[in-house]
Parts: sequence; C-alpha cells; structure tokens
Amino acid sequence: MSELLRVEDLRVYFYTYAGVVKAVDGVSFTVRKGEVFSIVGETGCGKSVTARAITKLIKPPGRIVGGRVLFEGRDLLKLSEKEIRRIRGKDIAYIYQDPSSSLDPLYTSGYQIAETITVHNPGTKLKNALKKAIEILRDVAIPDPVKRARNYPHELSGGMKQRVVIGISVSNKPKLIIADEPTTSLDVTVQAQVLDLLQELRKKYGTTIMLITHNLGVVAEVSDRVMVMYAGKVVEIADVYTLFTNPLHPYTRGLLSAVPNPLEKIDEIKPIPGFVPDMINIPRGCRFRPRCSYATQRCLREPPLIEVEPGHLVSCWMYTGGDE
Amino acid sequence: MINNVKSYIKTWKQRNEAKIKEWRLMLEVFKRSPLALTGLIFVTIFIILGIIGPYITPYDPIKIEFSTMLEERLQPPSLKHFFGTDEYGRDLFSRVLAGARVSLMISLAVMAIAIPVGLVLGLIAGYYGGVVDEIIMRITDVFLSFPGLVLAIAFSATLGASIWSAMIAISLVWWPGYVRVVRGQTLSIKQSLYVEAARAIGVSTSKIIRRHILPNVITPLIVLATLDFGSVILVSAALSFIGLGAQPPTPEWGRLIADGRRWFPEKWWYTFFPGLAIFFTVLGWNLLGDGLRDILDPRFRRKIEFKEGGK
Repeated sequence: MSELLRVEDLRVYFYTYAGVVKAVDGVSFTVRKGEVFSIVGETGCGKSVTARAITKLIKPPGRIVGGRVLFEGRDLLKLSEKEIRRIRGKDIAYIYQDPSSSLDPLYTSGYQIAETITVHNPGTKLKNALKKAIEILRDVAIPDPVKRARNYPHELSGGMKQRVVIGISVSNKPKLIIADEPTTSLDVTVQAQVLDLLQELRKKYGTTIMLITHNLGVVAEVSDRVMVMYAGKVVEIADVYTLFTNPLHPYTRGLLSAVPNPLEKIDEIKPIPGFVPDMINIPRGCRFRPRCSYATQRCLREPPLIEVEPGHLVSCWMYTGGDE
Repeated sequence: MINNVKSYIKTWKQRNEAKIKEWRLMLEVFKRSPLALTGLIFVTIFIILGIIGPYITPYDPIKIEFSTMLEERLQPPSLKHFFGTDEYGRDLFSRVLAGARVSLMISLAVMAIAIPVGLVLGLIAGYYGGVVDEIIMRITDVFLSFPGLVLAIAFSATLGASIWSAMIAISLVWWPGYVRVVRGQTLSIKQSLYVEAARAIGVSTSKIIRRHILPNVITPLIVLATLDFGSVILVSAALSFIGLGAQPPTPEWGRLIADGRRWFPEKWWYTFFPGLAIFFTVLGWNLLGDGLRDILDPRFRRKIEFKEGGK
C-alpha cells in the first residue's frame, strides 16, 4: 500500500497565561492509502490537536511550531490559508465528536451537505447540490432521504445527525476522512451502525480513514494500524493484531489491561496508577516515567521511537537493545 | 386519491411547501400567545398612524384658529374633541395622532443607524478578537459608562434642539449596547463545533461570518431591537419633554406632556392622552418583542407542531 499522509516531527504548542503547553511534541507517523489508521490515547494526550493540525485548523493561542505534514507529497503546513481551504472538505474531511453541535441549527440537513458541495464546486446550482445531497443521505443509510433533507438538526436523532455529518464529510469524495471520536456521544447500538457505515463508505469510495478514539473496542473492531499517544508523544505504533497480542510499551499494556474483557472473569480492573501529567510541567525524559513500574535511571532521558520489528514502533528504553 | 392526482401538478403551494409551513407555524404561535398578538396589534396601529396619522386628523394639528381660540381653549374631552383641546384651542386628538409620525421616525432612524453599526462592530470584535476587539470594546465601554439618557441629553444639547439632533443623539447612545450583544453572541457561536466544522470543510472566513454566525446572532438582536423600540420612543419623548428634541409647534408626545404639565391636574386630559399614547406604544413593542423571541426560535415552533400532532 502506498503512502497517503506522512507527518514528520509535528509540534503544536499552546501559549497560555500559565505557560507553554506542548500539546503535540514531535509526532511522526504515516497513513497508508485505503487503511483505517487509529490514534488512541487518554483525553488531553494530543490526538485531536494532531488531527486538526493536519489541515492547519489550530486556533490561537495554539500554534504549529514545527514539523511537516506531507499529503500526497505536498507539505500542507506550507500552504496559504486560501490554498489549504481547497484541501479541507475536498481532499481531507473531518467528522467531529458531537453531531448535535457540529451542525448549524439554522439550516436543513440537506442544505448543509449542499453547502459543502458548492464550496468546492463553484458554479454548482444550489438546486442541483440539494439533489446530490439527497443521494448522499441515501448513501449514509438515512431512511426517507427526501423528507430528511428538509429537516433541521433538532428534528433528527443523534445517530441520524451523525449520519448527516458523515454525509457532509463524504460529499466531495475525500481521499482522507479524519473522524475525531465519531462514536463517543452515541448509544452503543448506534455506535456499531456508524462504524459499519464508515467501513462501507470506505469500501465504496476508497477513502482512507484516520480514526481518533479512546475506545479500544472501536479500535479493535475497525482499524488496520494503531498509534498510541501519551502526553503529546507517540508511544507505540503497530498493526492492530500486533498491538493487541503483543503490546510493548508499558503504557499500552496498562491501557489494554484497564479494559474489562467480557470473556475473562476478573476480580478487578487494573487502572494505571497516577494521572496524566500536567502538560505545563512535563516530567523530564520519558513522559510516562512517573506512572511506569519499569522506570529506571535511563528513563530520565527521552527515549527514541525505534522499530523493534517491521511496522512495530515503540518509544521505550526497554527495547533499545543494549544497556544504558 | 385526490391527493394523488394533485401531486402531479406542481402548484406554487407545493413548491413552497416548507416556507408555507414555517409561516403557518409562526401564525400559530401568535394565535396561541394573546400577549404577543396584543403587542402586534398595538404596534401595527402605531405604525399605521405613523404613516397616515397626519392625513386623517379631524382638525389641523398645528395651525391655531385665532377666531375660535378663546372659546375652544382647554376644553375637556367631548364628542367634538375626543381628547379635549390645548391652551391654543387645538384639538388634542389630532395632535396625538400626528405625533405618532415623529415617534416612528425617530425610532426607525435610531434603529437604522444603531443596528448595522452594532452588527458590524460586534461581529468584527467577536470574530477577530485580539487588538481589534480591545479597541472596539474599549470605545464601546466609554459610551456605556454614561447613563444613556444623560448622554443623549448631552449630545442633543450640543447639537441644538431639533428632531434631527435627537435622532443623532439617541443613535449615538444606542449602538454600544448592540455591539456588546452581538459580540457576546459571536464569541459563543465562534466556539461552536459547527463553525469549526464549516472551517474544516473549507468555507471562507467571510462566508462563515455571513452564513453561519450572522443568522445565529440576528435572532437575539431582532428581539432586543423590538424591545428597544419602546425605549427609544420613551427617550425621545423624554428629550422633547425637557425641551430638547421636537420643537413647537411640532406635535410630539413628550412635548405635549411637557406643555400640559402647566395645567395639570385640573386640565388632566392635556397630559393624560399623550401619556396614554406613549404607554400603549411602548407596551406594544415590549409585548411584541417578547412574543418574537418565542417565534424566531425554531425549536419553540416545532414544539407546537408536535403538540398539534404533526399538522
């Protein structure tokens, strides 16, 4: 599979009154064409910021201070606002977490899909765009799309709204869809439907999906490869099978054992001790060190991200080979 | 069956089905809210009088009939003079009717100036933030730090007593309030996910402001402006009352009250009827403003629709 997106050493800092928050600090990864690439991590680990930085959607006080985002070989971070606008929604589309607030309450669902079409196809009559919108609503499995296209967001259920949001994102047949926790605010049954829908659309349009989530069940269900983030850093990257069967980083292991497995009867869930570090006063060296039971003296230096086996990258001193 | 046949012919009614539904619902809300309807009736009467008032007066509201002045002066209300007469023998009913135009003119002019200024400055300050926001808001604060009426009196006195100076003075006092409201609203809408989503699909900044922020800001502004219409009329009456604003012989409600004060309380009708006119107009605008708040909220309309059983 060829490479669609390559992020190199991405750094996004937020300049707040309290100090500089290094929300994303030197993140590198690649996304291959046609795959589902997941980013997992706790709240505040920088996964959403990473996703937004890809099309420069970072608002002040945040700033992209370094790195490259190569999309089909083009560095998106070097594009002007006007140029990147042509990429957003056309080549790279987003799906946000909360469907009820990502739709404008004053416009019908059909209009909001049509708007996306007209933005990127100037000259398209709104009438034709609305017709296309109905087709898209049918694609995202909304029953009675003709009627639903005329509904306002508050007249739709949560799952339906998320389908509309997905419809907006696929309306220009993007090459990459970045889904930022698309199922978090939905019912479990609806979650499965939405995930199925995403999979279906991926097959239909050949879209690559970047899925951001903290739900490991979702990750196991749909992804091809997974990246685990912790406190603004990449901790581990592997294909989904390897990650679940052979997690290497202590954080990944902790994350996996913190999820109850319905097939195994266990006495208690093992949470990871401690808390996510205060992002202004980040621990020196490995950021997981204060919570890690394997931590030693060498962890005071920052561990490199190394490839321990083909396609399996981990950032931990335990796997650097050799000692100190 | 009939419906089936009908659906083949595309009538205007069908093409605009959604819009008609929307209007019908609005009407429905009005019907259900007697207060809003009352407000609408008062306001409609006021506006109609403002337009045609001076042409339908039974007597000349301005000209003094010197031949009959002495026997006609300060007459109590009667069938000949519904609201009585003033000290020059002029028919007060005619003067009150004609006075509606002055009030309508002033309040319309003030809104025509204050709303656009408030919108533009508020949107810019709210959306762009930073230094621009600071500059706009600090200037606004300076205006807001004075009580509105006092500032209006000061401006009006400086500009000279006339209707035009009253308009300008009140407008100068009125826009800062709208800037505040629009800015606050813009700030909250700017943060909303749908604006971010619009950015993420590649919509330009100007289009985001026009298509997504402005329409979401305008509803509270319309409500506020409607409620303010009454206050503007009140302030303009106050200006005229203290001798600024409309000058004699222009019939203006505030002015009429001021003139009638000399004869109060024996000749009570002189102040009472202009006061009543102000009272009902201000009340009408307030009731209408309250009703509009409900009507302009699509969620509220739907609630009624659902209660109706999806009619």
